[in-house]
Amino acid sequence: MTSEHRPGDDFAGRWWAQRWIAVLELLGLANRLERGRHYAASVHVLRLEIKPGRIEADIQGSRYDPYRVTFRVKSLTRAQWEKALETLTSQALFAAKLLAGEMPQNIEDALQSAGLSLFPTSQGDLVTECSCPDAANPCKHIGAVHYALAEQLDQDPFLLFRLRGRDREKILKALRGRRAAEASGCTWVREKAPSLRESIDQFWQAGSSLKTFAVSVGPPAVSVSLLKRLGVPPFWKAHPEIRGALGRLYAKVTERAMALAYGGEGTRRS
Amino acid sequence: MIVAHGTWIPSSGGGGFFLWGETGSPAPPRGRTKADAAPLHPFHSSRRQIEEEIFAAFGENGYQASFSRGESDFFLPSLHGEPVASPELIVDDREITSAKRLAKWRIPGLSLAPMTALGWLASLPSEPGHFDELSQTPLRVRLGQDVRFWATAARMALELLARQRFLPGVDGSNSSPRALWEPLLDEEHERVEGLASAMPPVCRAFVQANHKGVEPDDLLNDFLATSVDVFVRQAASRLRLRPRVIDSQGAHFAAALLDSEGALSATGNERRSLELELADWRRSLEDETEAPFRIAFRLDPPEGEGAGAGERWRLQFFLQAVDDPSLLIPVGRIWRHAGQSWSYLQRRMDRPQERALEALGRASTLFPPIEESLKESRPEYCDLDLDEAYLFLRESAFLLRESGFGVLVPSWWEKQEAGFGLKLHVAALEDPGRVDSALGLDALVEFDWQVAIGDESIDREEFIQLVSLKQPLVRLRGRWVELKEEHVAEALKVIGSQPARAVMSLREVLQLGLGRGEDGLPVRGLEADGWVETLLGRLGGMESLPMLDPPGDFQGQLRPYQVSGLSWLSFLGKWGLGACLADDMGLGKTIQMLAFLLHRRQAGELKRPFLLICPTSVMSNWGKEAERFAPALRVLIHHGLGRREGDAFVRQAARHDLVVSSYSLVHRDLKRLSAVQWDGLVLDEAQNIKNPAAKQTKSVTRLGAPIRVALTGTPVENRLSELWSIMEFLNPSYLGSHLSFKRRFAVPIERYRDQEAAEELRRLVQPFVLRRVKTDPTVIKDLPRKNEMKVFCSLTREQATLYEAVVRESLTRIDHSEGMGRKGEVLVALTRLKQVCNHPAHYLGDDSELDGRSGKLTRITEMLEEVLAEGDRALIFTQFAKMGRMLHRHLREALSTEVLFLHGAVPVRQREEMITRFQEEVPGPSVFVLSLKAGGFGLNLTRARHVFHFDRWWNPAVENQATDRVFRIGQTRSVSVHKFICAGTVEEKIDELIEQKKELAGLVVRAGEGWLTELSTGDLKELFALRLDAVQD
Repeated sequence: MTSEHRPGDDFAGRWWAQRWIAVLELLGLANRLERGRHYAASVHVLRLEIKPGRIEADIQGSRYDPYRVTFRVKSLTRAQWEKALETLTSQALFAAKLLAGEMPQNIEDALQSAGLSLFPTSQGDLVTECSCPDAANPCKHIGAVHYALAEQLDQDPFLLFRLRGRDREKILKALRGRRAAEASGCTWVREKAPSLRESIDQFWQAGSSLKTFAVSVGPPAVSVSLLKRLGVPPFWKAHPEIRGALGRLYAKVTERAMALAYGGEGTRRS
Repeated sequence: MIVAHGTWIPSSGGGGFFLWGETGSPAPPRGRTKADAAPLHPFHSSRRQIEEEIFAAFGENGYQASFSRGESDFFLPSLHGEPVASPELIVDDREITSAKRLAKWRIPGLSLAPMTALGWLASLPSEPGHFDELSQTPLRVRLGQDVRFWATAARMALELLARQRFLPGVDGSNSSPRALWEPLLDEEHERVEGLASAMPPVCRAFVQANHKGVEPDDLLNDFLATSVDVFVRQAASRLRLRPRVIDSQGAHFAAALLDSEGALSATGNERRSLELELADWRRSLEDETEAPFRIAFRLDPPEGEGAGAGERWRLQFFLQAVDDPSLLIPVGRIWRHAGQSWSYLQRRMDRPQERALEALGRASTLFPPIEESLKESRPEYCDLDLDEAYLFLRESAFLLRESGFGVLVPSWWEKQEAGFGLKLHVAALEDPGRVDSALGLDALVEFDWQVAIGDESIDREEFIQLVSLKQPLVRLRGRWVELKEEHVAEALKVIGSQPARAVMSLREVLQLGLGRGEDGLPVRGLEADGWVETLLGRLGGMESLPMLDPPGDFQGQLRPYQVSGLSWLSFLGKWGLGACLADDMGLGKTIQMLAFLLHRRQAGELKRPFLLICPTSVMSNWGKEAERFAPALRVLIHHGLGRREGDAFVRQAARHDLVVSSYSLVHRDLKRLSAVQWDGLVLDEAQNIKNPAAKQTKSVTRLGAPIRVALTGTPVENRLSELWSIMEFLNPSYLGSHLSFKRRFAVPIERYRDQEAAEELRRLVQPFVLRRVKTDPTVIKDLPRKNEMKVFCSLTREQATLYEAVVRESLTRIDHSEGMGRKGEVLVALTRLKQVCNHPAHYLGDDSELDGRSGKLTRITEMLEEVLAEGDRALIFTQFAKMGRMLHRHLREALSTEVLFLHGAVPVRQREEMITRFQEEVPGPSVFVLSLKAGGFGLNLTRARHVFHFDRWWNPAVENQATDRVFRIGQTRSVSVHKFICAGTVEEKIDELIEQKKELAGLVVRAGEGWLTELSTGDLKELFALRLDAVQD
């Protein structure tokens, strides 16, 4: 493949969209995507929805019913997002470009130095599925979605953030908040703690907030509420007994944690 | 003394808590070490010490302790080739200039397995002051702030566990993936960050294998994550939950979560798909939408009058503005809106219909009854039956709220006090004149119960009718009430088993009226009639006490707050209720007690003697004070070898009003003492019975008397074991058994700062504890700025022997000398006698053991403990540099606190530094020993509120100059001045002479001690003579 004949040249113009396509090449998928380019260029993509960590698309293939393509992209963890936002705040240019709807050029380098990437870097970061009978992955439908996605990304770089778990509003709000906090000298932005050498005068001392730090060990308002809120995960759908076992486990943990906290086997009044 | 240190050290194998100890003395050198190893920390404690004195001293957590011996390298601030001591370690001549360098030290210690660490850390007290309370550990061990930090972190881990904030996860960071339990910190994120920011730097000063530093929050998170994972696995191992058949990836994952290791044998693809599915599953926990509206649910009870059976409740759907929850728009507006986006009051929402439907769909998984309504094309509400409504209130409302929905429930649901409970009505059984005050809390009162909703009573029939509906919610007189099954059962038991009227003890009435009662049905109100009403009102502080007149034969003037103390003692005494007078030191507890005795005597109520138990060190003081303020009282000091036995003692006691004995004798003389019928039992320095298991405590509680009083200067309300012990003596079983007290109050308050428990305890004990502090506005106006008092101490037997030998020898010498020589001999004799009074080692100059050999030293140590407990600072003056040094050494050890010592040889610069530290440092040193004629120096020590004169100058002017150090500009508070005098010695006699000659003070001042040299040998003999009854046995 030569540079004049790169997939995506036709529409995926800006660098971040190209970068998406480049990722596919990196992942060794580019060759099989040639057909997808045509699909994407034509009207075969019926619907494309980008959600946090997930892309769903309906593709009109050879059958009457459209095929359903899903991409699952690994979201960044909360800690990773904290780091990413920290990086984004570190240069005014980043925020300014983002606020203007542009993806800053060297953002990737900056994120990389923090050990992060917005783009999938390994096969594990991106799992694709298609309901078509074609055994090959990526099939042409998946290819089409890739190109359609590149096109969307071209118009709205924030979709990339959304794909990794955070909405545009959330990013911009966090950026504004952090910039404001930095400007006013607030310290809630995660900063590196002072080095040991800088801390030599308070080497043995706890911060004053330790004295007022309150802990409240007690039973939850509603038992097993996290599992109740989340429902049964797909991998345990076939095992109804596991949900019951976990319910007992959570209750047991409360009981034992209370016993350890308050001494003895009896529990405190709640 | 050992300072316990420790920190969490992460490792790929799971990490552990490294525990080590720091001491003041160098550890013995050990065998050869590798050439490239860091030097051994010279002041580490041995691993055996750590095991026995730090680890085992606590560690009652019911888990098998698992630890190994190990060592770790730390970077520590160092100076002159030695690590600098941590602030908790009390060392001599601490370098004031701080270290500027870090050096690597190798430290031996114990590595605790995560579960063991969690249990050990959680068992530690949270405040330094409470250190010896729950654990009864010797004060030899102090906890470093690093250990305190981790103790808090351990409690945080327990909070996450108890509140079930953890979820399954996969750790794929290394080659062998693991299934693990991860703490979910979304809501606690900021708290954990705040905690991490308080981490003492030493916690992360360990040297890692990769030589990289570690950030506080990473370290804390590693600790929390490991603790949670290990804890949940251990709980799982108890339950045997492992799936029996492992036939799928999901079952395999579950099995790995529930076994002890968590190893996942999955291929790369399987693992990745599991990770993605997990992430998908957990995503809904992240509040991802920033939309201006969310879906909200409002539960409306049915209108009507009946009890509510069969009626429909309505759950209405709304759009709620996120930034203004009062803005509620019925969801029907959206269904009628056709556009792609919808605006309302400057808030815009894209694809409103899709979003609302999607949200309702999500909500229906949390509360299934919603699902039915979604079958309509434009759902606006769903109707619920009573059970569904109850489920919504009890559980689903919470789940929906946690998942980001708005929820509005009727206000009665959230108001606890509107709920259902019992109302108690108490009536006097007999008129107060006929109530035997000896019964105290055992006195019986009549009571009856009524069921109450909110504060409204309902009658038995009505209640039984409601209950027979077997509904969790009923409507009563237009109000909805929750009837919890367990409460209903209990209420039925109470009203079913009670005859119309029954009796209960006053103790139970107070427990119910002041506390929350034990588990179970809440008490909504307590009504009382007659004298019970008056008594409860006065005890609860709702009604003021009638003030008594000070007894006529009291010598001196009682200050107004002392009169109210007297009235209070008399009030509780009349009802046979135990009283704890816990006024600040210096406010005159002794005087109030003496006035109380005089009052009873005057009223003809003192038919039999009172027994007062106090430490040996204050016995003479009681004798002296009684002599001075209450000469009408017949006081017997029961101690020494000449004390009576058997019937002789009983007869002797009967001839007195007050018998004073000591804690050390109570146990020995228990038989003798219990042969007497006492009217009252008084414990002075009642903190002496703080240990319930100690012999003297057990003996004291065996002695019964209708009137019980405890005197203490330590703020007992903050020392819970002590409080329990004292209350158990005063009002037996009022606070429950020691074990239940620990569980209900001590642990929640001391370890978790449980405000509710603290408040309840305060309410319960408040009627029985009277504590005024010097800063109380009502006290301060009655108090002179300078409150001088004499503290009479007794000599120990050793001191007495030495004293008599010195007297004999000196008198012989004086008799054989003349003129200037004689004058010199008199002054030498005086000095030696003063030294003996101070301490045998002071006279002997032999650097011997100090503890327990001097009445003065014992007393000042006790008093300083109170000063420190009150958070005050004290100056101690002695005219002898040698004594100053001994005080410095002894107090530092005995009080475990830094003690400053200023004497003539201290260079000016250092002196100024000491003064600055004493005046300004927070928390800083609180005890300052000075041995110099302070008048000559421009000292300004206004931080001190207590001045002790350990020995006397016999020159009021010099003493006043010293005392005036604390009265420099800026001193606005009242200062207590304590002048120490050994009873029965030359000190007491000279003090008397000075008092007699007060009007001639000018003469005394000019002459210093010189006037004594003019006395005849006969006079001197009388002056020096020792009165043997003032000697301890």
